[in-house]
Amino acid sequence: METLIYKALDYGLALGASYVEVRWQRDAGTAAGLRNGQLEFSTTYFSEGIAVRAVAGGGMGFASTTNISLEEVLNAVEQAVRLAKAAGKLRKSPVTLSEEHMANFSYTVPAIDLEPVDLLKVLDESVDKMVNVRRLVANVWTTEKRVVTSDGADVFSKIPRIYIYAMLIRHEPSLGSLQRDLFFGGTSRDSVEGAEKVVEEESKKLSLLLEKAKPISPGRYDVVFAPEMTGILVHESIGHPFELDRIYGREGAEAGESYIRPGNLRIRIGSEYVNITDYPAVPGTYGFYLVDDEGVVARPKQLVRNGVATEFITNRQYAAVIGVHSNGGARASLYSREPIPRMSNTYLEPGDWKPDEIIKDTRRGVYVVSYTEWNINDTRYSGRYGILEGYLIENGELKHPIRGFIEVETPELWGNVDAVGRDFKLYVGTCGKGNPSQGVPVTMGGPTFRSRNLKVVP
Amino acid sequence: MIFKILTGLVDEAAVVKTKAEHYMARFANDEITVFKHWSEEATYLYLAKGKRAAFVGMTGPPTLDKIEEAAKRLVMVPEDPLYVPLGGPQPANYSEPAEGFEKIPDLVKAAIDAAEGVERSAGVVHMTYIVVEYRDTAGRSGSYSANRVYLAMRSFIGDLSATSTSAGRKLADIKAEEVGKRNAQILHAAKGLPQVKIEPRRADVLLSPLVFGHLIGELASSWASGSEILAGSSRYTKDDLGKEVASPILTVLDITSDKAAYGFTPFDLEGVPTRPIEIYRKGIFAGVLHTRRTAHALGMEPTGHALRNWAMPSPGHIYIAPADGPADAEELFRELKNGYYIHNNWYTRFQNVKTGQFSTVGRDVLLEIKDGKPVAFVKFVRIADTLENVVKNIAVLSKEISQVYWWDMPTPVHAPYAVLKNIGITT
Repeated sequence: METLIYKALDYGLALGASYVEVRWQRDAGTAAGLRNGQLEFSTTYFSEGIAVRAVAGGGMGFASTTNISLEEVLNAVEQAVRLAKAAGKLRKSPVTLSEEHMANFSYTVPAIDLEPVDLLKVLDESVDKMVNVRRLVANVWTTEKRVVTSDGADVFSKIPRIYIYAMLIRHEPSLGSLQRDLFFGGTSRDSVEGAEKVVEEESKKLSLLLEKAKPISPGRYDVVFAPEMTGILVHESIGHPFELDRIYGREGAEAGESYIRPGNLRIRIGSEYVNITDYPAVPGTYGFYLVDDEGVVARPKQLVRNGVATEFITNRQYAAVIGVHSNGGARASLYSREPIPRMSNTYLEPGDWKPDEIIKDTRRGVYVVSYTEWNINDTRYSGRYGILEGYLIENGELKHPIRGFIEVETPELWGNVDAVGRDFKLYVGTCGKGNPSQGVPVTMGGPTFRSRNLKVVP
Repeated sequence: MIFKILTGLVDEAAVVKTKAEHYMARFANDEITVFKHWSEEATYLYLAKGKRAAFVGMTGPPTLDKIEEAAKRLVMVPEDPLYVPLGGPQPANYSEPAEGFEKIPDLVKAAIDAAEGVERSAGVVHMTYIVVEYRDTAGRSGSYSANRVYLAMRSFIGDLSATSTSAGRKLADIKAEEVGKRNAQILHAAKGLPQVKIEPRRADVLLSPLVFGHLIGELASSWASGSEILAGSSRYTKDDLGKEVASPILTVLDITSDKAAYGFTPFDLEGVPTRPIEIYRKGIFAGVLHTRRTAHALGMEPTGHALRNWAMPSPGHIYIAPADGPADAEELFRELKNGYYIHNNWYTRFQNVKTGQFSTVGRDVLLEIKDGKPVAFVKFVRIADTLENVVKNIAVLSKEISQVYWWDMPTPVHAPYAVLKNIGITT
């Protein structure tokens, strides 16, 4: 493999490319699904290929193949260079990459020895019997990558992952219907320990919420967000719009752009209490990696410091656009996908409040624990989050459960933050972006926090 | 060779070999950001021993150790409650040659150049050539090859944007200049209008084919799927077949078998020929998409919709029949009279798939229409309602339909413009 990869690099340079990157990637695993306690599917999969990126003639080209013979890999190199040159003809400025200290490194994370069907049976038995629809899926797999670049990177990684998804619906025509989606996962066996307890508790809550939750009166409330909410808010309204390729329009026709505009990057987006970080190298997390898919060592990306945008998630191409170094944010989900700027583990940094003190300190508000549907416009400015588990707060005390939606613009959400808890929890997700679409494993979270005077509607 | 390896290890097997060649040019700010080619050769196996069944996917040539390992795993899985022996009609054979990719940059340039007066455009041309071979131990076999291509482009003027798409089965189907011209036309019509914000309310809406097609595609995936009906996560049950559940002007079919459709697929992963399935016939719930396993469990006929995997059926290409509404945008505004025009949408999320409570974010040009004329553009609009209301509250469908597809659409569609009455909208 080593000889083949280096021959491919040399061949690309000989064809006139100024940069060549060769990535071998293999993803192999097993997955299963249960539908209302019965097996829905069981599958094993094995995906392996070589990806080549080349900068030539001012453009960027990409080619990949599943046939790992020397002949086919060299064909892929030719394709990547040829496509780069064709792309270069329709560019106003040539593609350049930032200069970096490239990584030479190899690392392996211990395998996860778990059987999806066995896991799901345990989880299914934990679901409250009142739940009418149970769809459970588990996936256990290992990703191996070798990334070699013409400017010196040579990195091997082997990372196992586990992912569990549970969709639970409690449907009672006389009361209504509630759906809870739960996600578990990580890069270690420990990461799903206790999942059955969460499934049991969350499924029991559905009946309670269906019976007790009252629609909220529309208005402005001080909203206390629990860590699950913190996660989705951070991911959608800070993580995505801080991807530098989005800011510069590369995702304009698909995942969208950003409220941050080229030429005005370092804007104030929150109060002084808001510090938000993306950090891949958190051990055991679902978003874990040590070196990105361009061969740059991962480090914490300090996206927001004291409310101000200070850093952006980037790869080498967009780092060069603004004259900085890459912060190791380039990820590719499969051998057939190009590395682009992506989140990893994105979180609000903890503050110094005890979570219950934030509630006690709130006179009229809403405490939101978990969400149902959510979405945000494509510049990541206007968000809407359905409340699944939420409670009215009156004079510092939790009252009855409520249902409704928080409709909020991003500067208002983060600008009105006045209390950040000292607790901390990360939640698992699959982040979508790119064309063709690339779902990459991430986490999102942080502490409990409060944002004042937000619009809540029934 | 594979069947020989499996002799004694399994009772039944099906082998699906695929080879796909993808070419994609992505562009933004009027320049190509990356030009890609990815070549994927894969083998998918269905293995059964007794009533235990497993699915296997592998890229590259299948190797002895991978096949044996997959077969041995069969003893570890529970029996498949939906097991049915392999069988059914022979898969159809269909063949066409691959198209060259060299003209893709010309399409990009033609679309960009035709969007006169816009500030910038971003988009994609994606061309795929796929070859599929099916063979099983029941003696069934078949093969097909097909091209498909789409262009989607979003153009910008200030805060305004417009997206248009063109989809088809060959490069000649792609009307790149029309895409650019349409974007320019929409943006120039909206430019200069005052901006307004809305409060949550119910209103009449005019949905473009992109939006209406997107919502019906979501519905077909979640409510008209045999696996969702079995799970109880569909709004409908088998007993709802034949009942009036939607507007009487709504007729929806899955036309994956149609050679002109972007999603054309002659047979599915089970080797079952796809056939047109009426999901709604004049407002009546008329049909369900099936794999062989879901069809058997519900006592129905397979439809050839094991398109993405063996376990769960999915639509391949949705056709929403036109009605007698106007085709022209200005006439459609007059038909709407008062309400909102939503040109595109994205980020559709369900609060509850069974009840169909969802919201989706309006994208691109969103216009407030008063007395049949655009009077303002709305910065942020969401549709927040139920799929049931979407299909029941259809008042007008245009007499012309378009074949559209882009990154955030669940399924490629032929769709008309639609006027929906009394729909929940919010910011």
